Amino acid sequence: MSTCSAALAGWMENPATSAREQSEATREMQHEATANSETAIAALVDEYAATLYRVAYSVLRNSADAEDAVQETYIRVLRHRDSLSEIRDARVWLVRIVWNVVLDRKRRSKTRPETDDISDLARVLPASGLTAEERVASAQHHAQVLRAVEQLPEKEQRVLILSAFEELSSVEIAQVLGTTESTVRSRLFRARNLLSTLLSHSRSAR
Amino acid sequence: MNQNFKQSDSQPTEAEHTLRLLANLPPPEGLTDRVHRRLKAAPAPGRFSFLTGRRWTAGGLGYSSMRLQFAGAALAIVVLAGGTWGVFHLGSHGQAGASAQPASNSANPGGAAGGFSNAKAVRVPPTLKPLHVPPAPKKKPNAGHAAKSALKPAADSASQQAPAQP
Repeated sequence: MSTCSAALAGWMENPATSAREQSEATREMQHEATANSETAIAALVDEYAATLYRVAYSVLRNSADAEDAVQETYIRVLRHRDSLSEIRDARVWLVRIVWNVVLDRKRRSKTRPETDDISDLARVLPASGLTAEERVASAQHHAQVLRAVEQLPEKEQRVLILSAFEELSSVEIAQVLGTTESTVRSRLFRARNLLSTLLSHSRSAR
Repeated sequence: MNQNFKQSDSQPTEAEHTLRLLANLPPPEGLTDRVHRRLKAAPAPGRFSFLTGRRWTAGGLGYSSMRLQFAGAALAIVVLAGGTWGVFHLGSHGQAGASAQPASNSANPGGAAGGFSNAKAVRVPPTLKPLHVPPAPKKKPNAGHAAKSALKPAADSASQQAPAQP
């Protein structure tokens, strides 16, 4: 009997053993893929966390909220880690994710007044090499500009905020906002005109 | 900002300098470390993978998520069908037994007890009551002619007796 089974074992495959081996191989591959994707995500954090933070901060204007938005962005990336290899431009993809996260947060906290933060924010902006009086004047100017930006229509405001980032071209801004490059250009043109009109009005009102 | 972007559009205004300063603010220290820590603490996305269609093996049984989904769907259908069958039969047996009938006011059409005495009243106009007309007397054939001839001599004698009028 034992000889018979030994003879059979040579050419007959045990299905239970093969399934186990297959599942182990699959598990190993999954572990490898997971490790690879975790390494890739860690690299994305090191490379783009600062950029994403600045994008988030330019809209939310709150340090803690901006950091939360960055963390939420990377958690969303973690959920899509299997499809990371399909991403062509990781930077634009990440900016788009953080932009959506930030807009969601802003929409949710619409009831919270933001106008009081503008004066504080203007003081935070760098003003090196200026005297105390010049700093005060600079802070007032920044506050005035930020209030004018707040008054712009939503679409123009978004384009103007994103155009301030040196690392984003008009094509990339269009990709982030999901529009065409020509639309971005026309919105930017309109935003600049509106902003200068608003600022001249506020100066003449003084 | 991109150089091409600057040249093709209108030049950035002085006001945009503020936005550029805002966009170049340095991130807080230790941001990347905190993000790394948060990502490590985040739940693994594969924990509930059997719900998202991935293969799940337990004790070498090799159940796929599809099988589990089908089993769940079948269980839900069985429970739903059983519940519906039970409700249907309960309803059909209940009809044979005592059933609540609405109280009828026909026994008391006047409604003296309640305040709505004319609730079910149907107005019948008096014109709809049948009028009892006495049957017309039957006329005998040539009865009219006979009467005329009987009246004629009487009229002639009356004209003879009356004096001539002016």
